Amino acid sequence: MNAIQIQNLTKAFKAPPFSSESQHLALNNVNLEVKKGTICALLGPNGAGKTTLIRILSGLIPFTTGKIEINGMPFQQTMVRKMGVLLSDQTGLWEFMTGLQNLEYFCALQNIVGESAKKKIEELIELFEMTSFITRQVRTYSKGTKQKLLLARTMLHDPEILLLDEPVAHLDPMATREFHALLRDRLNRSLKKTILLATHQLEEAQEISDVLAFLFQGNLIWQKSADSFRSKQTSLLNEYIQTVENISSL
Amino acid sequence: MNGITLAIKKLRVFLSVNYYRDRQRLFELATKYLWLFLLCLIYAFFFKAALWQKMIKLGNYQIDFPFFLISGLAMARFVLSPLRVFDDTLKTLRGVKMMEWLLLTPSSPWELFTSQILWGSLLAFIELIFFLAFAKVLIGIPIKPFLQCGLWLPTVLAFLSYAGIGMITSGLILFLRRGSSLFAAIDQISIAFGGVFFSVALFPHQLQWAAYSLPVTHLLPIIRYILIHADTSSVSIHLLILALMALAFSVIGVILLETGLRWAKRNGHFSNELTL
Repeated sequence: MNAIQIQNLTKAFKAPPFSSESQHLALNNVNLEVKKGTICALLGPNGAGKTTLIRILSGLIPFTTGKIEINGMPFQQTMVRKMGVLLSDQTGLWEFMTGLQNLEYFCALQNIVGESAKKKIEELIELFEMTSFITRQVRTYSKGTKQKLLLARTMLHDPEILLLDEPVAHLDPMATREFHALLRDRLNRSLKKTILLATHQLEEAQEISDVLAFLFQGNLIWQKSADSFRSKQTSLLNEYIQTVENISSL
Repeated sequence: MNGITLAIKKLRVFLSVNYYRDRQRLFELATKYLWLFLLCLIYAFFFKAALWQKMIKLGNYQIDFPFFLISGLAMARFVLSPLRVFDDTLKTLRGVKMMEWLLLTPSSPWELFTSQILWGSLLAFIELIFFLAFAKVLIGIPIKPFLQCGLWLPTVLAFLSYAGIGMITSGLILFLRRGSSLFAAIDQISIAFGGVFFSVALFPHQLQWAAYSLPVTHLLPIIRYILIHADTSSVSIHLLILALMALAFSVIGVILLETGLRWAKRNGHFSNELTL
């Protein structure tokens, strides 16, 4: 069964004043399927439409035309609250509070309070191995640690689907590897979460994902199994560059 | 868990954020502005020497100028606090990119605004007490008149009016994606032209009309009349206007802010930085 099914999705933004075009097509007839319990990596250069797609699925911006189904049900605003969302430009943590206090606050935003909040937070501290830093103020955290806390925040309401937009954009290679292992081993394999991940990290995307989807200029160019790259001689990087060059030369 | 219990528990958590933040700020301010207290002492000495027992005309009555000024400043600062709360909330939520995330949760931005207003009014009340205590110690302003129950109704109405103006301003900022300095402008205009420092009767005729569009201009005559135990029937029209302003601004404010939030959500503007 598909966790996310997107059919002919189009998103047109109003063009800025004095621009030659009347509208800018951020997504153009995109069709994408993400199976339940899998990791799908969205690849593509900057401006390809990855973030727009994630933001539409998060319910932060509306789409222009097309159809989205989540777990076989039509896409609704209330449904997006059941997803865990981590946006690329989003910090959204109170720096003057500890990680624990932050999680309590975000639990309250999710209507989880009292004992159930305490229990949930304890579970997440254990799951993400945050015991050593959770009682420290967030301002003392490294970027990797903050990202871990943000990921824990997305898990507070126990979502089935995680939408992650460049979650490792500012992390060093070791922190990136650790973060990806967390996604694959704990969230995907153990907890069976479906993950849609927009990333520029090709090697890691190939390693942790089940499916790779390539977006370029708002179009979904291809959607392939990650296994096909693991077994092939052609690397994902070569495929990526070739695709961009081929389309640019058209 | 029923709705009220959940709301109270959530409110406690939301208020704790303000507590942690302001505890930090208070410590920073206390160390930074210790010298300011000494400056206040010197200033108060000259202020008292120059203005004590100078009288100012208030309708058919006379009032001590320091009493006139301190009552105006104290009450204006208090009722203007919702403006600062909305300014601060909007800037903070957008600054830490919290606004967008908030929309992905079942909580409404209104819950946060309510907790912020509650916290803001608590702080403003504490500030008011400190202000009056300082006025008593430094200038000798009597505190007893400020304990009259009659002060509450006009103060609450003016407070609601400025909460409404705060919501209107926030809504406009969300629509236009600029105008964050509007809060400060309204605050300063209210202090400058609302009859805090001088009686509005001293202003030129056209400026008086503009001044009477501010809730604080209607609040202060009532407050001062009550403080000097004068007959308030001549200022009761101000109470009526204040009540109408509170109602109108609150209703328009709720509609505009709600529409602004929807608009910003529809267009994905929450993460944009505010400009002047």
